[in-house]
Amino acid sequence: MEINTGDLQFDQVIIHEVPRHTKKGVGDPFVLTDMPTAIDQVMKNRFRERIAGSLNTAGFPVVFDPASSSPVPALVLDQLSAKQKGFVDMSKALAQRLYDLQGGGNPAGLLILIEGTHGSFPALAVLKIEKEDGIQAQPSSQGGKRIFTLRQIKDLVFTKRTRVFKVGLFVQTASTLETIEARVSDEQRGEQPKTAIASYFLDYLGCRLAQNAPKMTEDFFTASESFFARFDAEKQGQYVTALVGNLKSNLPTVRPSAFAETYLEVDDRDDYLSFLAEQEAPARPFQKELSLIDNRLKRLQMSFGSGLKLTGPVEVWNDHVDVHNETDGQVYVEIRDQLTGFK
Amino acid sequence: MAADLEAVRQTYLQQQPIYEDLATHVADALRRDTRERGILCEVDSRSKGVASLVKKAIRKRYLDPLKQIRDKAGVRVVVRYPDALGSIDALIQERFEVKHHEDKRAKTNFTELAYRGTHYEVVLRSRPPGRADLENLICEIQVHTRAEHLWSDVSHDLLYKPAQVPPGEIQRRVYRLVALVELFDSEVRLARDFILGQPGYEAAAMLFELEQAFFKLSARQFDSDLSLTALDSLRSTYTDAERARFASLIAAFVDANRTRLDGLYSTYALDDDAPVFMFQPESLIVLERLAKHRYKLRSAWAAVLPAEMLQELEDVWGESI
Repeated sequence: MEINTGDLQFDQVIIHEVPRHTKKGVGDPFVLTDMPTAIDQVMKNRFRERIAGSLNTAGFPVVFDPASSSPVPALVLDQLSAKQKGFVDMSKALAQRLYDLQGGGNPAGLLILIEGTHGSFPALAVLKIEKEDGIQAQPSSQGGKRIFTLRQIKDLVFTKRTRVFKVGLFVQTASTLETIEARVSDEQRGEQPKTAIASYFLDYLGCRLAQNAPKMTEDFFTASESFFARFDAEKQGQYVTALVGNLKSNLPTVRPSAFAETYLEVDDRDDYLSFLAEQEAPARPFQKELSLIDNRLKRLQMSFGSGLKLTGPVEVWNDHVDVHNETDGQVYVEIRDQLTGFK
Repeated sequence: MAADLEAVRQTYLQQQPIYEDLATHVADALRRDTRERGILCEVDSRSKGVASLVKKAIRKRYLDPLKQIRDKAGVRVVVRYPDALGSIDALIQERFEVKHHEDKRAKTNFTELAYRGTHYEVVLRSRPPGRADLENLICEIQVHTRAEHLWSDVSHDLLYKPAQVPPGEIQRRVYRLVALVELFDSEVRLARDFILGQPGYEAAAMLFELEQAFFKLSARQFDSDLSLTALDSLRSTYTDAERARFASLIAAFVDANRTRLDGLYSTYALDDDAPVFMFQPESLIVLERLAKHRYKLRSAWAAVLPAEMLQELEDVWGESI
C-alpha cells in the first residue's frame, strides 16, 4: 500500500523524556509520563508537517525483522489492532525499551508517540527527538526608544528549520505484522554517515530496511543511463559522469531527487524522475550497494560512428575530456593530456 | 371590496420574521453555491418592511395584498461581469423550484429603453430541518449586473419614491440612462477580455481563473499583489498548450482532489501559523504542479520566492513515500 504523508491525521500524543545514561550509571532519573498531552488542531498541524517533511525527504520503507528480539513490533501491532494494552501503557513500554537500549553515547531526548490514522487505517508514529536551545529577539521600547531584547529559550522541540529527529511511521492495513506498512527516516546522521538509518534505531524498532540495496542500485544506474541516452553527446557525457561520481561518493544513500536537482537541467528533472518510476527503478531515497555495478563504474567509454572508441577511468574523465556538439550533428571531442603511448 | 389594511398589517407583522428567515436561507444557499462554482457576485437579502407592504397594497389597490405581493422575501444577486448571468440562471433553476421567471432583457424590444434585470419567484425544493413554515413560501430573487443594480437603485428613488409620478420627459431622461448601463456592461466585458488577453496580463488572467477555484475552497481574503508576483514566475511551469486550457486544468485538479482539498483548507482555517501561501489562490498551482512538474515548479518558485515557503506547502500536501 502506498503511504501519502498528506493523508496522515493525528489524534493523541504522549511524550516521555528519555535521559542519557552516564558512565557511572547515575544520570537524570528516568520518569515515565502518565497521561497523553492535550494538543489542538494547530499543534496537530505542526506535528504532521514535521513528520511529513522528514519522511518525504528521507523516508525509507522498512519491515519488521523476524530475527529481532525487540518487543516493539508486538507492541505496535497490539496498539494498531487490538489496543489491549492501551496507548499510555504501550508508550511506557516503548520508552522503557528505548532507555534500556541506549548507551552512554546516545544523547538525552524525548520519545513522542502519536496515534492517528492514514485514510481509514490506524497509524502510529514514533519520534525520537533532541531538545534544542534558542534565542528569541523581541522588539520593545525603553524610555521611548526602540530596542530589541534577547531571551534564551531552552528545551525547544520541533523548531522550524532543524530536522534533527528520527521517525518511525506504522500504518496497519490488516491484522498481522506483515501487513503493517512502515517507513523510517533519520535526519540525525551527521556529515558522513555509514548507513541510511542509525542501526540502534532500527534495532529498537525491530525493523530492517525493506530494500534489496544491490538490485535497487543496479536498477537506478541502468534506468538513469537509459534516460540519459536520449540526449546529445555533450549533455549525455555530463549526466553520465555526474551519475557515476554520485554513485561512487562516500554517501551511504542515493537520493534520486537530490541528484536530479543538483546535476540535471531544470527541464530534464521531472521527466527523469517520471522515467525512473516508469522503469520501476527507485525514484525515492535508497540505501546504496554497488556490488552488482562495480565494473560498470570503473571506466567510461565513448563509441563513435566511425568505429573509434575512447575509454578511460571515471575519476579522470572530467578533468581531461570535453565534448562539444557541432551544428551538423557530429561532436568535437577535446582531450588534454600527456600522450604516453600509441598502439 | 378593498382589503382590510389593518388586518393585513397585523397578519404581516406576524409573518415578517418567517419571510426574513426565508430570505436569509435563500441568500445563504446562493452565497454557498456561487462560491462553490466560482461565480463572482454579491448576495444580499431582506424581508419586505411592514410599511412598505402596506404602501404597496394601497398604491396597487390590491384586493388580497398578502397573496398578491410576491416580494415579501427578497434576495438580490449582483454579478461582477455580465457573462456570469447564465451561470446564475442555471444555479437558480437547479437549486430552487422556479414558479415564475422574467428576463427583462429578453422582453425589451430593441427600439425601447427599459429596466434590465432578471426576476425569479422561487420556493424551496426541500424545507430546512424543523422549518415546515418555510415550505411553499415565495421568495423573489433579482439578478443584476453592477450597472443594472446602480440604475435600479437610482431609478427607484427618482421614479417611484416621489410623491407624484414625474412628467414623461423626466422619466424619459431616467430611462435614457439604461443605454449607459448597457454600454457600461458591454464595454467592461470587452475591456476585461482584451486586457486579460494581453501578454503582460497573463498573470492577472491566471489569477482570475484561480480565484474561481480558490473561492470554492476558502472564503479568505488574499494578497493579490503577492499572487501576481508569484504568478509572473509560476506561469512558466505551464506549456503554451497548458496555459490555453489553464482554467480547465485547475478545475479538473480541484474536482479530482476535492475531498483532500476541503480537508486541508478546513484543517488550516484557524491556524495562524499556516504556511504563508496556503491561503493564496496560487497555492492551487503549487499543489497541481507537484505531482508531475515538481522540479520545474521549484525552479520557478525559487526565482522570486523563498524556497522554504514552497517546502511548507509540499509538506502540507504530502507525498507518496
